[in-house]
Amino acid sequence: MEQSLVGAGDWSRRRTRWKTRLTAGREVLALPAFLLLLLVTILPLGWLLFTSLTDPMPGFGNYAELLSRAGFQRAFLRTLKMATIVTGVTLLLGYPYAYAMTLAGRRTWLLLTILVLLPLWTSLMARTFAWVILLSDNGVINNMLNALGLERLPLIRTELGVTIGMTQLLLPFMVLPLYNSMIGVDRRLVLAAESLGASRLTALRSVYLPLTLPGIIGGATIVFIMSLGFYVTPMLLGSPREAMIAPYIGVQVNRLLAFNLAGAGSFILAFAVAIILVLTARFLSSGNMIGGYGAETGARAGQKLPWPLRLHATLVGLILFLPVPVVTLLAFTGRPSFEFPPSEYSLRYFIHFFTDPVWSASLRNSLFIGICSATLAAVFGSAAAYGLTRSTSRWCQAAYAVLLTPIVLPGIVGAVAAYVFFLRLNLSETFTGLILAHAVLGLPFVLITVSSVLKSFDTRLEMAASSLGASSAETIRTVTLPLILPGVITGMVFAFVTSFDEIVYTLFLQGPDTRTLPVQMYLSVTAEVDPTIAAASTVVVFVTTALFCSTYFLRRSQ
Amino acid sequence: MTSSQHGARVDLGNLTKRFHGGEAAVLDVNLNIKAGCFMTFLGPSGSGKTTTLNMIAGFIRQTVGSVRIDTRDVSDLPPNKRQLGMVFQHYALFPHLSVFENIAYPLRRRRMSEDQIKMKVGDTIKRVHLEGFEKKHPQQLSGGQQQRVAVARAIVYEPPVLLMDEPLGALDRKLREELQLELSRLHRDVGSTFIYVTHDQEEALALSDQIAVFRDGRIEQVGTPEALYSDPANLFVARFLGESNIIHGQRRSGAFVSRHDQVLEVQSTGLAGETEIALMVRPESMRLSGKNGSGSGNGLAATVTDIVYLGSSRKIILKTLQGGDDLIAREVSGQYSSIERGAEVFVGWSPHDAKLIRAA
Repeated sequence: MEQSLVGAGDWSRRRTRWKTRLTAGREVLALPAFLLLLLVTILPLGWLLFTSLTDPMPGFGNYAELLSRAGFQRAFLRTLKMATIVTGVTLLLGYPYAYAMTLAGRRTWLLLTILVLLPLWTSLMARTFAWVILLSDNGVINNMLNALGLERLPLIRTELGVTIGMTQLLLPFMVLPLYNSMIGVDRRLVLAAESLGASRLTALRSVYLPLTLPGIIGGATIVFIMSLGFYVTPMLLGSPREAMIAPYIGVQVNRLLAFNLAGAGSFILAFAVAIILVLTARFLSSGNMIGGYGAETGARAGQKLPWPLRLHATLVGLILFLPVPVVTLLAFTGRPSFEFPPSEYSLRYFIHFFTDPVWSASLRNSLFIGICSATLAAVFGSAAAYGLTRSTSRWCQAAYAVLLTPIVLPGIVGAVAAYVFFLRLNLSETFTGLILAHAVLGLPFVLITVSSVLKSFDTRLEMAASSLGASSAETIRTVTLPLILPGVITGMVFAFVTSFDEIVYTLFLQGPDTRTLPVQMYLSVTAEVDPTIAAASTVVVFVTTALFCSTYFLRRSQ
Repeated sequence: MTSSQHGARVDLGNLTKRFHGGEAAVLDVNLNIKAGCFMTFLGPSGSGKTTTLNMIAGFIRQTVGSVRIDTRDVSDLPPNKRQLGMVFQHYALFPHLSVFENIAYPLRRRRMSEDQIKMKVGDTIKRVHLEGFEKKHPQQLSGGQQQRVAVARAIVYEPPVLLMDEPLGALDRKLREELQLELSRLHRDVGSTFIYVTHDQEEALALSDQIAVFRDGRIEQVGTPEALYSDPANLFVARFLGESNIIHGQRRSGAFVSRHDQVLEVQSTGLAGETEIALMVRPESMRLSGKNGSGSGNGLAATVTDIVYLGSSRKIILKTLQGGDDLIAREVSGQYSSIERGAEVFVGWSPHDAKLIRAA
């Protein structure tokens, strides 16, 4: 008896060592991703915080100064007001639309889903440009008003214009969480309420609405925090005199080189976002945060929609789709103006897009940066996903959340921090800097897609490989990797599209030799040079759509 | 198709597993499995049989104890160094590989030449009757076919020990019986030591050379199916293997006296010192006769409460007049066709068929 007790003690010590060695080997795989995040996000944020608290004097001087400025106060309140309006309007438009998605038959559902998902993956710049065309003083909306004999409305460079543009751009982020929560609701509960004497509307209000509350809060949170940090859209659609907070911070960096104040502004914004996230964290899912990954699942009622719902879904669908025909039609214009609809058609701006040295260089840069950063994100992200999913340590939950921060961090905050930090490392204006930054933005997508594959992965397959004589490395190479490859590729495509479309970080980090396509588009909108930007937008829309569809078929073929 | 290989003996010494320092899932298991033996670990879920199997395979690390294969201590080796074959519950076939590649997998890990692989996989495919399915993927096969691929993949490299974790659990009854037959044929054919986990006592009785009955992380009894069925070591084993009639009581001067003061004749000796004992008679040993028939012998007066038709036989459920648990008699050849529900009968048995077992 005694002997066996001694043996047991000895064993447990040996076992602990053995176990430590085994699990440490897995978690270490998350290290490259962490180093990347450290370099691009964590250290820059730390440096920016340090600057905001010490320059020119230690203390909260910068914060006090900024908060006492009337311009900042106005920008902050205006941003809160517009974020609230945008959140409310997207909820009112999105809720019935998402409900229609849950009711519709297979084909209508597919159409409604595509209409939501496409804008998500078709270039923010292209869509913002479409709104410039639609809202401008001689734009589509004003021409229509004019044709109806109504007075022209000042839309571009007004709060109203920015609100309209932001609402359309953010609508998908509202619809997807709503839809995801709705497909989880047992529809028989509504029927049960009706059988108990409630009218259809009362049943929906008293049963369905409370059950979809997580989706409402989730969607509202996402739309609200994205509105708070919106940078490019207010820059292009809004007026400098009516700045929102993100452009206000941008100006501190770009024009005034006041990094200390920009830092203070960034952390005030980040703090506001953090408070909202803490309050609503339990309603958020990572799938919702990256826009519709996994949205194409779930049971639907497969009914014919009642006509008010059908009308609403049609109108919202049109609003979602609107930018695509606008930029596409304009791309075929034959005249050197943003006149819409064009009075003559040609291919000259497509030809110009591919042959002009500036435009084609920006396309090449974008492709180069996109491929490099997506590859980096795919390799580091997959390794991290594998290490963190297979480990049982509770630290890994936290580590996973940390790696997803680039999703919720307002773009302007991360961009300003990376800009200030990279300037000191001589990484600004370099391809290296841009690739690293884009890779960090792509990491969460790979992490989420690969983790979701790994979670549904039968670990007995790895045990089987091991019992059949495969070493750990051989198991990963011959079993794990081939099986998670679709997830890796999907994540990589998402990461590429993110990089290809990225504008906020890129505006700060690019230089004359590293100008990307979205930056070139941005500059071309502000300068109103010629309709080549429409051709560029069209190309981008179709490339990203094709890529997006390919991941859909990849996932379906599994 | 005979194989040149031989099974290996497997010895488990003091094998114990505690998860996170809690209660033992497996406690102090000692077991010597002879080379070439078909050993079944039988027990209810949570009894430790799968944990024990996983410790032999190397997927679970033992807390205390050792696993020896042919006297070589493998306790410290990872699964891929133990040279075992394993058939998993739900098969764990690689979904991205064809049937051929699934079976070739262990050969490729052993760096065999392409010619050798072709030959060995071809032989094994014939052995499990999967000719023509080489190019199919696992998800295109039926459950029974998948099971055959899993077996083929585990035997293709002729491991001296083959572990099977409820390999027939996911199949319907008829197919299960068919594959049981194939497995025991394969066992004779291959010559490896088979260690087989199941909770299905019929399967255990049908297949095994030896059965180890597990309960709460310990082995209750080890023996041949016949020995376990006819001479269970305790109540748990008696109840777990087949149906049994249990009459609780005590020994009193050579006879057995039930709790309800029925005096019953017994032949077996032993257990004299035990206070808590029980008398066990298998249903097929029960003899029914009319109330006033040969009612003087060894047995009890009872009422028929139910008759269950089972196809090849009938199960007659009886309530004894003096009280105690219900008794079951099995009618195989229609000898009791005159007996109906509610009939009063005398149920008796030969003292030779009554076993005394420990009831504590």
